Amino acid sequence: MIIVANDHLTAETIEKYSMGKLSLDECDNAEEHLLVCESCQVALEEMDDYLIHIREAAQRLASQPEPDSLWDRIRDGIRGLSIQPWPVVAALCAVAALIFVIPASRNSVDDPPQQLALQTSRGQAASQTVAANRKIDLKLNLDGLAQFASYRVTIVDSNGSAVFTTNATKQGAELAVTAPALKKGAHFVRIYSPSSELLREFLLQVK
Amino acid sequence: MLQMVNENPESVEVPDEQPPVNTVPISHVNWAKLVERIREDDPQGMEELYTMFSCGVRLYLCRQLGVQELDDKIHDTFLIVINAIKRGDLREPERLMGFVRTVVRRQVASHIDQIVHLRNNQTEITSGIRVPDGRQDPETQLLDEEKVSIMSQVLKGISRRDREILIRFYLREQPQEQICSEMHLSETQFRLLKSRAKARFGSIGKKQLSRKNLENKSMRASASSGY
Repeated sequence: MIIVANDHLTAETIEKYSMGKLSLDECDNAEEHLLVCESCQVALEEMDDYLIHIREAAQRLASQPEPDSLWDRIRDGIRGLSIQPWPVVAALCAVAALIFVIPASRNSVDDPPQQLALQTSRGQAASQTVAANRKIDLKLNLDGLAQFASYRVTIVDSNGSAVFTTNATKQGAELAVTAPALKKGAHFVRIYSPSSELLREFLLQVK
Repeated sequence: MLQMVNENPESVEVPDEQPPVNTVPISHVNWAKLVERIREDDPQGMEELYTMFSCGVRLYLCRQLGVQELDDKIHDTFLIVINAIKRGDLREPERLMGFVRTVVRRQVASHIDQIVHLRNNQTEITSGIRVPDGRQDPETQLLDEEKVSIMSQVLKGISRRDREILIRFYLREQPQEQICSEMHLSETQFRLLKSRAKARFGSIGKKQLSRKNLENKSMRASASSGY
């Protein structure tokens, strides 16, 4: 074993000397050098100190059962394959983005509007559900309402704040309105007369 | 003799992070000349010998025997070495380092022998057993505890496999060859893992120390502003 390089003991020699693992000859040579080299004396003292503390810490950790974390297993698996971990992690992130992020963003405002017909019915009607972040083509039933040439349609959120207002012309027995993409939560679609009288209200669940 | 090796960055590992110490390279020291000067009773020669060896002898004796009566033991060692040189017992002056090492080792052996004899021959007059308190002082204990916590941080921050390698080597003291073969590691990977852990220990330690210094400064500043 090479014990001296560039006029100093190698780090391996200092470590082995500190741990008492040098052969007799190597130990003689290392000790002779240590008697006169202050730099290696300092390195030896540091190594002694390091060994005391790593042993103590290792002892404590070894006595604690540790959970087998998923990340540890992935990292160990990658190292076992002798592959640089960061490109692999980047690739895994890209795959995760393909699986989770891209389908989630499919409900974008650029997609074709979803069709929804809102009608009145007797009894407790179930609320209509639409997807969030996507335009809605609404068909609002006017059966039983006072007849006007046009109506005002307003969509309010669960706090009563108007998120959309438009004037719509009657088309047969219904109003056709293209509403913008709505956020998740309960919304109300209201039909007003030209004199701002509330004529009808529909509950709309956006999910 | 020491094995001197030329620079070869691929095969040679230089001790890392060594502080700059002003020493003449050992290979440049003329041992024969120094021995000659001591033989001629040159006080400067003796001073030079003391300056060169005192730290090393102190470290060796301290590691083997502890700090008790350390200065006396160093003094005794130098007296033995100088008298032997003057008597001409050192036949190969270029082997001065080896000669000093032998003298120091004999000193350690004789001291241990002396202690054993004393234990066998002496009886305590006072009844009961005196058990010395082997603990360190509170400040050193605290410092040690901090270092162990830093080391735990380092060990927890690495993968389970790397941790196992370090525990096998440092705690269970398994041979490097066995660890490398069982954990499928090359010698370089093994050496890198060890040196990285040590470097991390050093860098976290330095960071914590500088943060502590800042905290101490701010505490002192706030204390002084209170007056």
